[in-house]
Amino acid sequence: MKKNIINKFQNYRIKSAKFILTGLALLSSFSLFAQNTASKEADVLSVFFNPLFDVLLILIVLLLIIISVLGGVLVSVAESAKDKKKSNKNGGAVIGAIALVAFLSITKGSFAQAVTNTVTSNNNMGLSNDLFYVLVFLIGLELLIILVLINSIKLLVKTDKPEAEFIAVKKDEPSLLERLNASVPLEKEADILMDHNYDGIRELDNDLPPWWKYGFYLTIVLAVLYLGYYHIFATGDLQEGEYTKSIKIAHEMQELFQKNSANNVTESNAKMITDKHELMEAEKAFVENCFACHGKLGEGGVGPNLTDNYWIHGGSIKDIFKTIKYGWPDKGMKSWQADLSPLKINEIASYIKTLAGTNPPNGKAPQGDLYVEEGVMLSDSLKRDSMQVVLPKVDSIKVGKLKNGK
Amino acid sequence: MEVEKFSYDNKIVKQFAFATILWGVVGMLVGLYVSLQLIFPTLNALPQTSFGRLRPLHTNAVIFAFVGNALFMGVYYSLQRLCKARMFSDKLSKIHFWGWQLIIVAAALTLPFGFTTGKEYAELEWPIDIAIALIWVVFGWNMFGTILKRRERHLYVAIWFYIATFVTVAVLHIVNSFELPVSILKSYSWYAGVQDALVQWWYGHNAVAFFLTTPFLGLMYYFIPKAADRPVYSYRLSIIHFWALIFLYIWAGPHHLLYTALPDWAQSLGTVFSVMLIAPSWGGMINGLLTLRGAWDKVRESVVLKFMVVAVTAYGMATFEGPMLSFKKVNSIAHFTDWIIAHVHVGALGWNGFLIFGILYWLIPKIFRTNLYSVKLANWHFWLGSLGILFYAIPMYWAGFTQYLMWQEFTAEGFLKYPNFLETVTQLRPMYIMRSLGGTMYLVGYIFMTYNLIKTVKAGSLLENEDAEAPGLVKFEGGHEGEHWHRWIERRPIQFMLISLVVILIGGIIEMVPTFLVKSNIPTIASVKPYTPLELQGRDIYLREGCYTCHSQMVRPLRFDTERYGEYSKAGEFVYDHPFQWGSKRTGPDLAREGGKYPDSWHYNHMMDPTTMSPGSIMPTYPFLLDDALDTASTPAKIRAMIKLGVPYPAGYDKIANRDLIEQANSITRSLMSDKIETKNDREIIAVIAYLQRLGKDIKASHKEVSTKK
Repeated sequence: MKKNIINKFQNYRIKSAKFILTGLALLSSFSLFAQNTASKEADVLSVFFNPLFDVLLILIVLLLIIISVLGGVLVSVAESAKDKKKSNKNGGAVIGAIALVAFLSITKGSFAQAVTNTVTSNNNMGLSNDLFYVLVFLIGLELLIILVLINSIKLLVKTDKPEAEFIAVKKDEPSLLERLNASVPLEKEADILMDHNYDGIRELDNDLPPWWKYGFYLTIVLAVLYLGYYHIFATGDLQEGEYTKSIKIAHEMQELFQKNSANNVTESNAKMITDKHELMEAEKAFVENCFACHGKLGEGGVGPNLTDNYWIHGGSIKDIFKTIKYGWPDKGMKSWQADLSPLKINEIASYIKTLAGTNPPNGKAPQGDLYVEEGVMLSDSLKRDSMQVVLPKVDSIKVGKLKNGK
Repeated sequence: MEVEKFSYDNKIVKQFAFATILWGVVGMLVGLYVSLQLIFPTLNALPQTSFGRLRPLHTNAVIFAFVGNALFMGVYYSLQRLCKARMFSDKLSKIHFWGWQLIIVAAALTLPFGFTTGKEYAELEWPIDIAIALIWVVFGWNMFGTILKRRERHLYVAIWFYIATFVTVAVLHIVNSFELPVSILKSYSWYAGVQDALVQWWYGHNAVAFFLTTPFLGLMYYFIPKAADRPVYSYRLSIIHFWALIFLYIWAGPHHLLYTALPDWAQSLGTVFSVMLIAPSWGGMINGLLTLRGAWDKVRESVVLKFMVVAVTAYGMATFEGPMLSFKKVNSIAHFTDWIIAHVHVGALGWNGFLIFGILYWLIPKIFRTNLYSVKLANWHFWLGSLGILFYAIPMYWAGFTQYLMWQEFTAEGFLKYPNFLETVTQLRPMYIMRSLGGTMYLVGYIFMTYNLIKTVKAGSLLENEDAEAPGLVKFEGGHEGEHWHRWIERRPIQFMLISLVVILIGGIIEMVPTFLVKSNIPTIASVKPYTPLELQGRDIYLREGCYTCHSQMVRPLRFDTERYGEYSKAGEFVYDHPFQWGSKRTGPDLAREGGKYPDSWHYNHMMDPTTMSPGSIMPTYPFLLDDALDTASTPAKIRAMIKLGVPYPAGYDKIANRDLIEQANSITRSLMSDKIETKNDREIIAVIAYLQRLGKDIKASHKEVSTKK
């Protein structure tokens, strides 16, 4: 009877192992597929910022944890079933279970692959269809595995119960855990039971687990080495040295990059950009960065109005570039060179110049000096429709100082 | 030997148990509420319910009210039985119980109203600090009284941990709470800047060690063998891991300050002692888990043991993670992010929470002489709680990695990929939602337990005085041949206490004394000047609102920090900071170099409603700062206190301080006026702006000097 059940279980295990292996094969093909669809220029990281992706991934990880816990339970249950039977025939069950656990670790790897190699497009909440279905498939597969595992455990536990009386049979060999911890086997526990008795609590005199003891020694050695490396022999960089080095490397990289790219814009060669697409990009950057002080339409707020022809620090493309790059910290304009690339600053400066004369609602009164584009006579500029100059109402503002005029 | 009859006091155990359950609900509800505030900032509606004020309430309630009461419950139950004696004095027990509850009520009444010292996990103001010290002494007195009249010759390992807890918490609390009162509910930390940070994290770290860990290891040593009916696995292991743990733990505090302005040598000590802590911590875990050898079939059946096994496992995970986080590289990833929030919650929800639940499920039916009302419900609690922990921790780990990855990413041009800090916060919203879900699951489980235990209590009746008998202790003739050397100290509680005191003092002294006395550890910067009276008042508002719960003031020497915020912070910049405000979490950006970054009017609008200046911001609104008048009457007393603490204001400055204050306030109102903002010069917002605009400026000034010299 017992044998029957165990045999039945074994068959079952083999079947489920086959099933799972098929799943594994499928899975790896999927991850390969995902890999192929990956495009190199896409931002790999951005996929992590998709909420749907995150939720699915967290679900996958949670299920994985459940699977590995169940796997562990299955192994131990299978092991005890093996002990009870005391026959080698049953080794298969254990091996099956171990194979399952090994498989789990492999799948974990391929999950990671699938995840890191796939990119987003604009379908399911910004998640590419491929990735979405891969994730959903994985979740489904995980649920199936969980079902199989639960079934296997149930089956084993059922076969367990009538055998309870056999558990008492003495084991000759200490278990792996006992060997690892150098513990005295349960059966010989009486030998090391101390005469302590506190409210019925007794104490055993087991030795320190060797791995624990030597692990402790190892951490002490590590501690000495660490202090030696950083402080006694001063071979390692402390935080200041580490920082200086990292900055140096970053600067070198930056210079190298600038040399090899068209990004080498400075206040001396900044140029007006007219490309529509680039100006649209610049508008986006303007709304992101400048909006808080200068208003969405450049009408001004905390900062000055950018749509009139009056400029505190000069209105040429080069002046504006310089103002954005270095800022005027005393007046509340921060330096943006740490946040924006020179190219970006050039774009934004150009965009700002296109705002001239747009005359948005709630415009702030002009501040600074009237600026007239190089090569344009003052009178011309006043006539031009696009330049509707709002004359300042405030007396203190000086009007009409030709900066670059002839 | 005559057998003596006596009784155990179960009433005090019951009282602490009920208090535990009650404060647990409160602490967790507040926790859930603040977690929701990060998703729905409108929940910050009132000044009293803003995140900065409630978050300290959450941490204090969970640590000192929930876990604190549970630790007293467990100690009062187990100590009597391990000593075979009733508690030393019922009166002291009573004072202890009601005193502690009053302290909790006082905390709940002061923290939401902004009375705080501004030091994390030690926010309570000085009168409450004194009350805590007194009640703690009452607890120690009661405990030692019981130990001294015990009927058991040797002290069991649980009691070693209780003794170490008592001694160390007393030292930590007293040293860290050195503060100079300014008024009845306002004080300044005795220490400043780097020194304050070192003392604070020596305290903060060891509050975890000696309030959340050692007493609970003691409880584990009592309740696990009891519940499993198994002998403790290894007596030798308990000796080694006990002494190693209390000696090494105290050194590890500086690992909270890696890459800060704390001297390198102190940081390194923090790292290496944390690494050496792995084994002693795991000693506790394996002694607990291996005690269950041969009883795993019981674990499957008993919900009590299930809770305890998960608790001990969570302890093992958290104490492995802690040392890993102490490595500089790992720390630079995790520090200031939600990873740390995940880490502490594995400890708090897993280790403390689950051990407390296990103990409650075991103890309440026992002292009420009945069976647990519903085992099934308890099992539900177990699964809900376990899943709750996973749902809490995993999204928070995720959030931590995400935020770090975004903070540190540079474009090929060498610019920050996400220069706008806000982007890195709004990205975390889904994770915050998941976290709140996990927290809710945990809380629902907890409510199941509360209902279950109420039903159990109703079904049973309390055995107030449990009769017991034991032979009295006769004069000791000397140890018997061949006994373990450690038995000697187990017979001598006073010596035990003194030796453990010495052991825990060593680390603290070696780290603190040089930091206080050796000048080179905190090089002075000539341009760093004391705060003006208005800035000082603004700083106190910054403290009151708990800004440090979301904003750090510590730029680390890491490229991604300095690119974002400016030059890294130097030790000499903080010499007038009583208390320091380095913070430990960046839900908002660092503020160490905030001064001069934006115009005054930006701050004005931003405080009124942060979303006007940074759309999508989750910062609470502070409209009341725009309306409330600044309390300038306190200025002279504050200046006098600062002078007493060594801040070099000229003699007699307290009398004229308010004159300077008004002058500075006027200049800020003028600058606001030029941006069309009309406000009176005596509003709190003016002081806050003054303080924020001062941050990090001193060192900028010194650079200007240097550069003009060139």
